[in-house]
Amino acid sequence: MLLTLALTILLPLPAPALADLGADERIGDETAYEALLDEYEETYDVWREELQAAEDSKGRRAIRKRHPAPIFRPRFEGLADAGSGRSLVWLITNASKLEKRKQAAGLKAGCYERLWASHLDAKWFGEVITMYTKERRDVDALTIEATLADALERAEGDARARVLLGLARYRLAGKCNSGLEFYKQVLEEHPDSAAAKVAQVEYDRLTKFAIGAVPPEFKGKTIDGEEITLYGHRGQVTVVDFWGFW
Amino acid sequence: MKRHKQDAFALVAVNCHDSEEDFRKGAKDLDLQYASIFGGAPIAEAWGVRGFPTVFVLDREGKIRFKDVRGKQLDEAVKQLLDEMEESAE
Repeated sequence: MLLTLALTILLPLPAPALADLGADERIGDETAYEALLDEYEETYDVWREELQAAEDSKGRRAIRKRHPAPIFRPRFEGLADAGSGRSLVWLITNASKLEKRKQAAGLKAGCYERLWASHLDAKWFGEVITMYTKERRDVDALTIEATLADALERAEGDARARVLLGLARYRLAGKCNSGLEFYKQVLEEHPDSAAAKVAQVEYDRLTKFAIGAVPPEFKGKTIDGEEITLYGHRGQVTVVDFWGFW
Repeated sequence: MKRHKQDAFALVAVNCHDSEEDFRKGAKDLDLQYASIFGGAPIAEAWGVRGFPTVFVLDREGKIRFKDVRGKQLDEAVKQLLDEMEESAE
């Protein structure tokens, strides 16, 4: 009896976690992709060294023709067909090595379509959104708008937060201030998401720390413990210089 | 006049991400003439700073007037704000 009670109380809590697990499984296991990527990168490094060691332009041209990406392509495609979204991302980032200009655009479009359809819930999907919304040369603006609108309808939770963040950035990159509203939406509707943290910083940069704004006070100490404050310099023209050696 | 200008200007340096050792060594190599906040990464993060150096120029009311200015542009930005100050003082 007590156990049943405990279970009824506890069960509603782990439920979202279980749903996440289901989503992850649907997205596909990426271990095979990771292994293939390692193998590709090793091959690429060898090829790159060979290229740098080439003696003349003729030699370089010959080596360039043997770029390892096309050789690995069928294996990445195989993994993509088996549900690996990361493999689709690989195909997109290497499209220019795999196809000539026009066909490369087609290859990318196809991969993006599959990513948006099946991998929207992946934790790494924010990266895809960033890439996709910068493809102004290969994907037309109306398609980008439609894809984002459709994803916003379908996505939930963290995935939705990522789409909203992507929309904010996309609009702002196009100099459209409605982007700010999408930042606000991430913050209000998905305050605990990873996307919200990023949205907060980017939103502040454009508001609290924009030209014309009075930034909030900060305090810090020198390496010898002397306190320095921003507001201590009110009344003076102040240069705030963020710097580092590294 | 020159003296007045010096009082009217301040530099708030915020060092980010360097270790104490790197900071001390770097400060010595550069012959750093001004005090700098050490360990200012959280401030930089809040201000949305993505790379170094990043500079903001604030007028005497504390308002951000210029961002990411360097070299000659920075000198000109500071001069403009100092001139504004003098004009309003007259």
